[in-house]
Amino acid sequence: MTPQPLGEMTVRLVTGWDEAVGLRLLIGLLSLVIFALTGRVLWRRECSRIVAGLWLFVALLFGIFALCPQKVVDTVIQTEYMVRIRLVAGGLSIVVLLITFEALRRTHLQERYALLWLATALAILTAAVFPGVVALFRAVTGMTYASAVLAVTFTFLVLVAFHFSISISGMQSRQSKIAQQLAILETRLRELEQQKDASDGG
Amino acid sequence: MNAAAPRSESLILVPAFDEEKSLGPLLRELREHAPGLDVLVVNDGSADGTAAVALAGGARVLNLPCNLGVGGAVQAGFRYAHARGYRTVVRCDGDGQHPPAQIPRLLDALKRQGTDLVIGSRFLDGKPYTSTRLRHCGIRVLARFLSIICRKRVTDPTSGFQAVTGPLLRFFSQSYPCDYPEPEALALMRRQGYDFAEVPAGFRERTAGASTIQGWGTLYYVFKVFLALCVDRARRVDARYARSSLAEAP
Repeated sequence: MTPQPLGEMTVRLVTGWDEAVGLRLLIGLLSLVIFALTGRVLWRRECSRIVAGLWLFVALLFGIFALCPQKVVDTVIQTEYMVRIRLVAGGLSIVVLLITFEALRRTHLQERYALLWLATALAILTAAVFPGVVALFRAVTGMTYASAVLAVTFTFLVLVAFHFSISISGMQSRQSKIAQQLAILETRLRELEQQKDASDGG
Repeated sequence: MNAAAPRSESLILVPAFDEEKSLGPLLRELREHAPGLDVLVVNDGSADGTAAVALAGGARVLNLPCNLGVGGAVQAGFRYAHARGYRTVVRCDGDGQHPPAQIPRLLDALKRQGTDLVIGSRFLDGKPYTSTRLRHCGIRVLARFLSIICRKRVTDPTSGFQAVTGPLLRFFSQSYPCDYPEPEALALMRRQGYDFAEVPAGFRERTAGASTIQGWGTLYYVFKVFLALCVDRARRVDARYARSSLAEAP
């Protein structure tokens, strides 16, 4: 690294950070630690690229947060509340979509279990791109936009959880059937062997 | 002589779930039209007398302790065939839709065309297929889509009336999709470098039982198949089971 940007950073450190210097330093440090650890793990190929990518994304967010000048913070704060919340919701849904797709691609996830996750992500995405969609929901419940999006998300997550419960129950009953069948087979085999031994001996 | 040893080069695989009514006539027909071929009934956790009917009909029976769905049952049959050293497997569903009279035709096409898979298609002989209009449209859209993905014309991607041979049998016994497997299996095998051909085969009305694709199932079918087809494109080819590497091995 050349000393030039480092110098600039120092200047920014001195001039731009009028508020919350300690907090920023802490977050910046955290970001650097995450960067370093992720880099090391990635170099040794100890984790998948998608997981490393997510961590790098987190580190980048922290880094931006720690380094961005007060002006930017002010602009963000002054941006309309609606716009910010839509951006966050949209970003979140895209992250969920990406993770689901990647899990499917790596055959860690079967299509039938991807169904509800994709639906969840698409519901949030729709609410983020077309805020009018949740208008009816808001009119009925009297919620603000953010609560409405949260409520929709929560509903879908409950559905996912319930789907899991049903699947687990099904697996449990199938598993016991397989175990029973295995035990029956083992007994039949042993009886056959005993019969064979008896007939060989006699 | 060991009764479990294969007596023929090809195995007829009959996946059956609660088919005690239609299985008996089907097994008789199989003996008539494909004499000398071993028949394996995979009983997919039926609650009725499917296994007893199959045994009485002189078939080998694989009793699955719980219901795995068509994909799981068919894969069980492929595994059995591969482990027992059969060279070719013809799948003929237990509901009686697949006409046993056409089995020699499938096997013949397999030999003549030298492909790894031969599909009996309902839409090649020009006879109208009696089904709901919506289902027909869905199959045609799927056929177009698959034709593009496979870079070869597919007319009946949902047909389970198939003959599989050689290294493809090994690939399918290793990885075969779970539910509604046929279209996805076709895309998968094509991506691994295997080849297929279609021959006309007029299907019959099912003699008993009901289709598994009904109501909400249709929606799930469409979603599952298209999602699986898209995701499969993003997967890497599994070099261990590619045709080029398996064909060399003995």
